[in-house]
Amino acid sequence: MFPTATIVFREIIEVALVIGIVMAATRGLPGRIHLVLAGLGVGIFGSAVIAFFTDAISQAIDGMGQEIFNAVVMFIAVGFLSWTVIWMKTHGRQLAQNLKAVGADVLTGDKSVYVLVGVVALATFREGAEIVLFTYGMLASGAYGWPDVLMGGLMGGLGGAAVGLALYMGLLRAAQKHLFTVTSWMLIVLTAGMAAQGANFLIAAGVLPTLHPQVWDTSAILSGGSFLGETMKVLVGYTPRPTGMELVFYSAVLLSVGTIYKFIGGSKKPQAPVAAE
Amino acid sequence: MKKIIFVFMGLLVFTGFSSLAQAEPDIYELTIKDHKFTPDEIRIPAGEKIKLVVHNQDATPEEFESDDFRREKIIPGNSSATIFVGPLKAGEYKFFGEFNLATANGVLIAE
Repeated sequence: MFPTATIVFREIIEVALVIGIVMAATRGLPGRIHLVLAGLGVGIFGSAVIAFFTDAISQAIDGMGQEIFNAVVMFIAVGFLSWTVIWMKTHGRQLAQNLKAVGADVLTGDKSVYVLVGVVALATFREGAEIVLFTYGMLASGAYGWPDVLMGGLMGGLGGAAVGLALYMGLLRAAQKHLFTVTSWMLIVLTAGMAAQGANFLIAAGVLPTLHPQVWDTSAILSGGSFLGETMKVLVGYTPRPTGMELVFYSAVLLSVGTIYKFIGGSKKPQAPVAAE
Repeated sequence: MKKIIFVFMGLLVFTGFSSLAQAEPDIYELTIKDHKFTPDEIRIPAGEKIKLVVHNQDATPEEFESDDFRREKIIPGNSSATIFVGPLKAGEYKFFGEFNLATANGVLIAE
């Protein structure tokens, strides 16, 4: 039972943390729970499909299919998350001021909110596929039976969900006044981390050079495999031994999305009629 | 925009050169059987990129993973996978099979 619980927990905290921040960031957006749930549904279904095609994906592109696939998933997620952050900034005030009336208009009039479905689905894909494969292995090898696997999966899943919920509640409580700003910057940093992870997959595929094999080493202070290390990996893209290329991707996304977010015509100024489309 | 394209082109050219400059990486092999690695210790030269070929002889899938040299790759049952590793600084790097943490453990030593 326990190996299943451990591994499901390990895989699920990533998804849970992303959902935790996204839920806090989109507070006030009507229907966001449905969008997130739809994303989870698509993600779980996609996980099963990906798990089923693992053989084919692995063999594609000279055996580097998995790396390329993971990198592509990462970079699409980077695009979606950046879009979400910028979209929230331009609509934040409307949402905060007049939740129901304006919110409904925003939802029906702007298809951008469906990006949320994509964000959650993409966060679920990779880790979800791993859970499916692992569970399949456990059952197929006869090492554990259905009851053990189900119980373990449930425990790990609940544990992961608890972490995500804790982050969500913590954010609502700690950042009441500046919730939009705090969660937006958290998403920007998280997105930069994903870009770095994407770069690492491309390095693993032999597509990108490292530029520098190891710019620093903080593994003695915080190991990448520890619970805190994994959590920080998701939240801020922590990695104990970053390569030069990862730092390039990290800074590029942080600077570009951060700059757009900072200077884009945001919620404070009244919108000019022309710009309002 | 022009600048971005320029940097990107530069990157591509650089990538091309660096792969030309490097000789084909050396191949090291590992076997997974009964959810254990054989050998469970590999020595590679520090500062060189190598190719690690992992043969999974079990019927079940395994995820080859290392937090230390930061690779993760699912290897379906009864198949092999190639993993580019490094260049790494001298030191010890743990790796493991994530689906069988209790038994599948090994260490890669760059020297």
